[in-house]
Amino acid sequence: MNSNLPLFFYQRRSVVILRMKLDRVTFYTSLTTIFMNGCGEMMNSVFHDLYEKYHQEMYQFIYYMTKNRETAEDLVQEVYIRIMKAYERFEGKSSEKTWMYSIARNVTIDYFRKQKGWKDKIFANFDWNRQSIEDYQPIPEEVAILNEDIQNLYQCLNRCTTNQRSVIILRYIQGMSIAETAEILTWSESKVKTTQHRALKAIKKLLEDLSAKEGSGIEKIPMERKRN
Amino acid sequence: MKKSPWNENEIEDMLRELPKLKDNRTKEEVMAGIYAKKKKKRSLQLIAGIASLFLMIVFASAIWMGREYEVSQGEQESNRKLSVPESEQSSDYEGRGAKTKENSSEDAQENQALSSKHAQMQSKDEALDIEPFAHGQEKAFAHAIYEDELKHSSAITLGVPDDQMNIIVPISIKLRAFDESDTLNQLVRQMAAIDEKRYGLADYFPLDVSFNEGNDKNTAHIEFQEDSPLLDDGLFLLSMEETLLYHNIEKLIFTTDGKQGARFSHGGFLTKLDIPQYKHRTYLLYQKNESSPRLLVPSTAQYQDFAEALQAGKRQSEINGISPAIPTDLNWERIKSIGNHVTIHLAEDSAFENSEQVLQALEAILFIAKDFGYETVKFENAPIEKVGNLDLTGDIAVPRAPNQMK
Repeated sequence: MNSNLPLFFYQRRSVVILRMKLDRVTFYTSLTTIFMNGCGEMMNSVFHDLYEKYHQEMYQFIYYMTKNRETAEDLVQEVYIRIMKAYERFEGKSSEKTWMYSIARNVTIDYFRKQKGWKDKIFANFDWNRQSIEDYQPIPEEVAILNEDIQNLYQCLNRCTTNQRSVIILRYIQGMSIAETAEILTWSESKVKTTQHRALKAIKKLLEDLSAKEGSGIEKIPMERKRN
Repeated sequence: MKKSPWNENEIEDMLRELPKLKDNRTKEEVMAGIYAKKKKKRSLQLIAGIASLFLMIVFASAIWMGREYEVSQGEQESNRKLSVPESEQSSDYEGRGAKTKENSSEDAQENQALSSKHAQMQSKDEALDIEPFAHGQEKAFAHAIYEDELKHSSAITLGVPDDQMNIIVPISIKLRAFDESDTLNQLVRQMAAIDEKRYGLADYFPLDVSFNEGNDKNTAHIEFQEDSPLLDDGLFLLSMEETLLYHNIEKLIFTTDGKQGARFSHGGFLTKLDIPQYKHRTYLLYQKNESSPRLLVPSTAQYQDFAEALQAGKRQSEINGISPAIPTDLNWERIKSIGNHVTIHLAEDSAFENSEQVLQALEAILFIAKDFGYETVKFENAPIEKVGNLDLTGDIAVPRAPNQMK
């Protein structure tokens, strides 16, 4: 013991260490009380319920929006925090699912905004109407094992505007109807249709550009595809 | 023409084939993550709380100390009154300053430092030909600069990103007349001098690149260093486009460390960039908060025709701080254009008054017209003859640049 230090220093330090140990021991058992701050057991059961019903699709939506696993993991947690905060205000005007998606989209957009604020321009195409050319996000394994066309398509998604990307992901990857997409984005159905059409055109153009760049003049032959 | 290898149906099918991406964490791990996140948030709030409390204490004690100082100064002065003749009692601020100097040499030094700083600021402002800025007195509404105001002066416009780095806001400064060949130097000078925060914008300038004149007066040349962060900055090219648009520069040439071209992470490899003069945009309003000025800002979206762009000027935006520039009750019945002139026939029920809001809306319309290549605009059927300085009885020439800052 360093004799220069007063006794209460050691007493306080041991209290802190004891508390840390207790924290670790009780950590997992206290998980159920995560939402106890003003939320209680009800919030806990709400979390379990929402997790079972929507977690994977919410995660997938955010992953395709951000193209980054760690970010998606972080943001999906933020979605739960916001849901817990706003759950009492949920009026049931929209379905639980579209409400969750709206929150997930807002969380994602806030994240893009923050990135902008920090001058990190990974998502420079966030600005609704601009397109970026380069994309440095790694391709996830699930995509990397698929054919080149799908990989290119995945890369092109990032180069659409945020609105276009939202519509494409909701409609084709999440399998939402036009009406559900409109509800999530709080748009009219016609705006969804127009944005979807523009997004498909943009992707087509990007695929063509990519194909021209990669093939350097050699025309790319698309895979034969059976229409459903 | 070469046929595209993909059609939209195929793209739709390919999109449906994109794989399901799964979160590999367990429910407990997700909960643990939420717990940690909430805890972090709470501790940040706590730190913020403590910091604000600390600041409050500092301010409160500063105010208290200030009062004490005033009281003691008052006491000293009242003591002095006993010996100072009547004529000196009615002394002004300078006289009082002199008395303080007598009393405290430290204060004297401080005053001197402050006044020299003030003088420095004043001389800087004079050099820039901008009125000294009084904090908290920023005008809420920024006028446009019109061509006829520039007989004995010149204007510099800079495209500055907004506070959230979403859009580019043009800011114009009126300067003493300078030769057109000096435009680039003036631009660089203003980039160094502009205080973006004052207008609720992002602190963006000065830029770490060198600007030079190109082969002709309509071309500018930008030299980057290979590791320049501007090459990764998605807003840089947009800011340059918006800036140079107002200075008759039609082309930008890029070099990196003396070699031709520059590799932009968001725009690919570019050797040059054409600056489009007419972008077919609408104009909206940007205001960071109530204490910052209301600025006209061009949209990022482009429109097919003038009427569509005008209508878009009434629409709400999803971007923070952006609001419509044209009130919804300002309506028009028809729009007619001949050559470079456009006539807007206002509707009978159109809300129209001589107010700042209507003036800014009209200026927005003039800038939209300018973006579509029109040079003059006539407002027909206006119930009043003048709005601000705009004479609605005749043709109005489109302004030179928006958002004049004084």
